[in-house]
Amino acid sequence: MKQMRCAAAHPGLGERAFVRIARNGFGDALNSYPHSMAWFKDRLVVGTTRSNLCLFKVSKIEKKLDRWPVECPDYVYDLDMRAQIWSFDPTEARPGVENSGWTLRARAPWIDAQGERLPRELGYRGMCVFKGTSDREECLYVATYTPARGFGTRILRSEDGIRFDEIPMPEGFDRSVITLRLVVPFKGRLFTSPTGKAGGNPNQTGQAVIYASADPAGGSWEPVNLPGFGDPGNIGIFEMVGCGDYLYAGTGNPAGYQIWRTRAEGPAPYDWDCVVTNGAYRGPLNQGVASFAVHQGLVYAGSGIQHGGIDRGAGIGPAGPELIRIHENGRWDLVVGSSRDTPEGARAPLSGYTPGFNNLFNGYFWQMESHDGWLYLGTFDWTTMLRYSERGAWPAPFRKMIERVGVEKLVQTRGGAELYRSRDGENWLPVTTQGFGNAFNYGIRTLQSTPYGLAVGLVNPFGPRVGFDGPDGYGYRYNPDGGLEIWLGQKRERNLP
Amino acid sequence: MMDAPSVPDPVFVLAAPRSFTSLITAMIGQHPELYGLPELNLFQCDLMEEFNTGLTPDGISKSPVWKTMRHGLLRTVAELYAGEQTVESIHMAERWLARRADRTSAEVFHELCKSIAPLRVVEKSPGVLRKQVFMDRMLEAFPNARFIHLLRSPVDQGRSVLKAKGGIGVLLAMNCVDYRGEEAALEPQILWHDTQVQILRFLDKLPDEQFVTVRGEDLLNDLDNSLGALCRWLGVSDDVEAIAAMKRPEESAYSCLGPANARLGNDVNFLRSPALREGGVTSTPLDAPLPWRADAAPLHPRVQALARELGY
Repeated sequence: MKQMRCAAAHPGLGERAFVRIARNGFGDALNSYPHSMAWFKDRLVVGTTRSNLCLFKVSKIEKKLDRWPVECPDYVYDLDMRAQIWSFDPTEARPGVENSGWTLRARAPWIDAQGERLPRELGYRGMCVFKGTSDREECLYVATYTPARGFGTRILRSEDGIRFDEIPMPEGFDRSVITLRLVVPFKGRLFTSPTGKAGGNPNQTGQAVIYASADPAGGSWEPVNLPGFGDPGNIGIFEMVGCGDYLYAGTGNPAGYQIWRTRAEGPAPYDWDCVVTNGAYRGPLNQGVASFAVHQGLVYAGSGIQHGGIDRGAGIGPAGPELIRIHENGRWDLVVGSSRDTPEGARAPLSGYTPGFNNLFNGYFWQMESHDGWLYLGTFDWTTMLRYSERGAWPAPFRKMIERVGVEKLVQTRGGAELYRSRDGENWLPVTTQGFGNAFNYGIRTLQSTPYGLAVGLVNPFGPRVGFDGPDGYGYRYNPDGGLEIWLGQKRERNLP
Repeated sequence: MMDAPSVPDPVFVLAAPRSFTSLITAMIGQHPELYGLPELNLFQCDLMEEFNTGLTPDGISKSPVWKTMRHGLLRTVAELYAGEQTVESIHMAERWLARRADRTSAEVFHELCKSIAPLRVVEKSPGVLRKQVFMDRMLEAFPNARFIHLLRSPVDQGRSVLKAKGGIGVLLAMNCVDYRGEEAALEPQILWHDTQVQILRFLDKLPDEQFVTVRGEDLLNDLDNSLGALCRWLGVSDDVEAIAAMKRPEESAYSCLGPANARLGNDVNFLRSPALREGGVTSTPLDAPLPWRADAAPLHPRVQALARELGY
């Protein structure tokens, strides 16, 4: 009985339960995205992506920024863009000593690409712990993000978290496939799918194909679904997660995402069922599944519109993301979003929140993690980008709304990524709505449950030198708050040693 | 397939204000098999929309202090679903309530009981005693609930009402004014009398085994025996640990002021000083001159008669 009383009182992690364990990109502000994270061999492992805003500047993605937020060289590879892998040993962390406990474990090598010296990887976009049939023990598998003129994306494998080797890739991963974000274990197999292609398409390949292997170190990949599940509108698989007897796959689709699931049994291709379609009947505004998590036996799916919540190329957005959850019987609930009638019945948000947790500036629900009985959800929030946005391109109602408050006031009061938590998946409350006090922390890309607490990876590409309005006009200066940050939330009874 | 665990019926404490209600309800609610709630005031409404807006179906304001009468439910929802009572979790509770605007108060009360089960809810809302229709709603929602009729001597209760923060406001709101003299005067014995009449009319509808009448002075003067007897009547453990837990009302999550957007939910005097102070509690004779009356008259004969009938 007393345990019941305690369970009712377990409050989860509030903002004050979190401490910053890494800042300024581990001392190198070009580390801007903690793009992947895993708990491996008693350490927190983080894979970075470098200087994303400089990469974005030279990409072919349509953008409307009239003042670039960070100082970038004309040739982006004048910067050291080699992706890095860091590990954190909680027993070596010293309170009050910045970035203590962290060790740089690996750095992407240089490659010679037709005479051009390039980093083999710009980023490590996904990570998981998995034991394949030929692995002696659990290994760390890492999905990569590579230069457009490089050799194409690879999956790396490490037995010790220090040495990383390429493994054979599935057929179809040619040089044009430059990035993948999915390495997902399920029922003894590793699943992956290409994410992005060269030419300004980091989030779509046109190949919504899932590959599986029980022995990825030895290759033996096989495709396990019909391309695009038979729907050419599915431009990519963006998320996968295993829950109970099913593997779930979420697509990107201009008409609204789809979610498919399979028991992953029998010969390939497996039998798949579509459990959610047309972006849960919201249509294009639920363009893709940005995040999956399993909590108390249910699958939670967060949506997003690519490129920060506004896909100018496709003319979609801005619009806040939605959160749904899927029951074992395939029925789904709307948790955060817009009330609507659907062919499957009326849906109203169980949380009482409209899209984006009532915040238009939340571009995607980017990451979720179940930790110690609570579900945590981190967002990407583009408020801070208002400073650099081409204001003449703003629609009149939007401009009026922003001018009424003022850009700087908005950034100061609402800038920064948001982290929310819920015990039952229905009732949500904020942990932080301002990037843990740093408006440059504009996204939460990674969340990892560890024995030492919940690790939160905050995206911060606003370094080393950030744009500002000075007396002589727009210029750049050193940003003491630039570079990725990692925070760790702990219940009080288990503090860092 | 296993049966769903049963949800125990709640225990309601019925009493006039300033009758040790906050203290004793919190004490009972600290029993390890029970769960004490703040004042929910749910049964003053049929639909939750009425609770949320503070307007009757005819569009009339329910009470000038309705906003604060919502605090108990807001704090409860925040505590149960967020595990904390903070400004943010109260906002969450507001969303929870808004989502239930089309439900009945009974459905919401049942939902709370279910989330608290297997613990059994203990609750008191003096505001519900204002009208039989409110009390009937409570009984209709929980026909098998147990009721504790808690008493305090009318003289001491009246003195306490006049002394307590907010007490005069309660008397004015309940129109407890004696108009017989040249000048109208606040008369707390009216509140005591009318509340007891309301409670007795309600209890008349119940079988004897469904309610118990407890004099607060007796309970506080003989804690171990009285609490033990109450436990046995409720069918919960009367062991030493359980009784000891009941003597720590201050350990309830609701025995303190709440966050800025839901401060109350109970008598503010109790929230500021929730601990049990053991010691003799006296009872003023019924024929003593009333300290608040300029004419030093004793209780009205009808009040004296009712008090005697109730054991004073």
